[in-house]
Amino acid sequence: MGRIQFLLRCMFRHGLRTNLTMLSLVTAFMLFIMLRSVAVVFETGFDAGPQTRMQTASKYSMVDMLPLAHMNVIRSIEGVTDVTHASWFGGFFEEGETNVATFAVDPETYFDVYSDFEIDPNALEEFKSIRTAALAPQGMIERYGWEIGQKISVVSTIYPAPSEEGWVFDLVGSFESTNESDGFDPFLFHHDVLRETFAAGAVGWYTFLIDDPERADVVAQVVDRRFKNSSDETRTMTESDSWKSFLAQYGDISLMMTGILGAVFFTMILLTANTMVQGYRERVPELAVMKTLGFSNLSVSMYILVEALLLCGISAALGVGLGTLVSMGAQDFMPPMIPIYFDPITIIWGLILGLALGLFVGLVPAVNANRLEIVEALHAH
Amino acid sequence: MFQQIFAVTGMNLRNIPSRWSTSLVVVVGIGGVVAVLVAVLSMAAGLANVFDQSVSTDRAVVVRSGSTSELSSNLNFETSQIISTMEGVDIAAPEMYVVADVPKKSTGEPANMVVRGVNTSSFDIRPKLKVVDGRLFETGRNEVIVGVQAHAEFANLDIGSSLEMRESMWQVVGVFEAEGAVSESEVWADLTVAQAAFRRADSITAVRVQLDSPSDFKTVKALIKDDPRLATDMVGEEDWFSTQSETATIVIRVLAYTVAVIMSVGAIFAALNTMYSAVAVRTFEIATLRAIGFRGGAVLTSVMVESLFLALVGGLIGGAIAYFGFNGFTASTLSNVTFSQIAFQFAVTPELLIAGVVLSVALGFVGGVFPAVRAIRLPVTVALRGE
Repeated sequence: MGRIQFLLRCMFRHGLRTNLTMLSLVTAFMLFIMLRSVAVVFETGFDAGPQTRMQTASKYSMVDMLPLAHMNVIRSIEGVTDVTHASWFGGFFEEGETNVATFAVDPETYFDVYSDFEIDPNALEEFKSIRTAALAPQGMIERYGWEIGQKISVVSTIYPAPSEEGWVFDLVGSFESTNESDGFDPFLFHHDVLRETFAAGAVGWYTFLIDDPERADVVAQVVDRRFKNSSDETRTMTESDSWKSFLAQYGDISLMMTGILGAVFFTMILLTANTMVQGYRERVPELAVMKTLGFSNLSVSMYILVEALLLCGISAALGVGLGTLVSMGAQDFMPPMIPIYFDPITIIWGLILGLALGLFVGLVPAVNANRLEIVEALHAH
Repeated sequence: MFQQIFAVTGMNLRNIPSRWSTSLVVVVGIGGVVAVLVAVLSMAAGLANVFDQSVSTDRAVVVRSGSTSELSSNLNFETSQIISTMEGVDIAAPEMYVVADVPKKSTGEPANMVVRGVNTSSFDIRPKLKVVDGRLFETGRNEVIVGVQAHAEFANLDIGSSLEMRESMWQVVGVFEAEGAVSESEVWADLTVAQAAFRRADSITAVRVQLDSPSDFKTVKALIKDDPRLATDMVGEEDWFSTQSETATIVIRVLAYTVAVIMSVGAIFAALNTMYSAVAVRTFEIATLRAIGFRGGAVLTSVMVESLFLALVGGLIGGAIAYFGFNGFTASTLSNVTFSQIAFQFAVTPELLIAGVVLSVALGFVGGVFPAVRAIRLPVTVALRGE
């Protein structure tokens, strides 16, 4: 009998108990992946694209708008290569669902600044040429089961609708961004259609590209100084930082997730440690026999430790795998503002946590096995 | 029969201390599920409370047609004067709602704070609102009073400190309470001064209406709709606030239930594990009982009762942790409708505690039933001959 076979026999000696322990561990690691995938966005912001993409918004608050005239001023600043603008529309497609990003944008320049978004050139041409055209992220199209070419009716919490049907747009195509911002990616249409409203001549924010990421701070200062003491002062930062400060307004989501995971893993430590200790107690005479046969103290305790590591490691791997699958598919079922951004680093942390748990719960039985006196152990039974 | 059940069950329960470590797993596992579920749901309940406290059936909000929040509404001052003379209207208070970036105490990062420009009629319309510290702002001066929740959430809102908003300096002169209503997250200033400081000329964002009685709602709504001078809608406060609270509470509930379902599955495995080993340890004992005439039903019941008992203890501990750890805890979040911070207190309500205990008992039932059946399935002779 090889060592590995021996280990597995030991591990599943009490099969039901091991299986049940593993199943609870699997659910714990699944939760770990899912909750971390939500928390990570709130902690780090997401990588919204290149570090050369900056955002300028009103200094007073994110709901204040800026004049359209700022566009040319920003474009003229040294180091700025492309500028576009967007405005929050507060749109929703179905009753009660207000959590969708809908932006009124400048069709001519938007995809110059978001050049990392993938879009079919023909769809982009159509988007530019038709006044009522709209583009949606691929994920949103799948979530709502839309088809390219159909009309989409949108109701806004901000802009009174021009007709009974709401604001009606022609969906001319889709685009794809990084999977990290999926769930935040906006439904896009022409800022021109707002011309009849109070937003004529005003936009929500400007987004622009700079040629050198090292100079981001400098350019931000130049832009803000340019508008200082005007009636529309600005605040400029990288797009990633701006997302981060927006998300921070939702509160300490990360702390909440950590709290939940803490409760879960506290239980898991208890459960697994209990399984290991039970398994050890039942096996005391066997371990004594092993030592009698010539196994060293060290190798006996290593068997115990490796068994704990295997138990936790395998469960962690299964749970992490399952959690990853669920996280990647879950965005479609979640309200869009619960962002599930799956980060590969989370997998690694999950596995490290699994091994750490194994080490922790295996340590006490392993040390006990090491100290076990043959005569006493055999005598006791 | 009952005598048997009592005898075996009593024996089991008295034995728990000797198996405390395995039993603890069930208690902690189920306690954890209940604590997390109740704590997270208490956020949704707390948020809903804020809106409940804000609603009065004889009050309504008049905004520009099509607007669902004050943020996107814009009216001229005459609107409030026209409405105040209407039949069925007791008070019509013109209000200006703006959002200002002010650093949060917890993070130091700027967050959206509501500033409401009001005149005395807004106080008449909200009798719950009382200045509890300091004094009211004086008309015509750059002074503000701050809601008790805003005071707790935002930095530098102590009485006597000055607050910069849009290049204008404001003096904090008082703190007010409003029995938990949403106004407690706001900062109030004199309407005319605020209009000038925020460059709003004489425009307002909404008119708060106090009706003579709730039954006047329909007639006043029709009057407003038919008035050619007005392009406005009147919304009852109940509808007004329910659209605002819905989104946030749905998000929290989805999260709570997802986590609770997965944790419950894990806890059931833990309970099964414990109860199976509890049965396994007593195989010989159970077989002996059966041999001397105890019925299967009595043994089954005893295992079930033990599982339910442990689960119940877990549920009660979990509920207690949620209650003592989180009830009344203040947090704030961003409303997606008003784009401003709403502070709320976690509310661990009796309904939530009952739901938590019911869940724990259900988990205990599932975790106990299979081991219990196994306990009585084992043939007596086999069990007695075994080790």
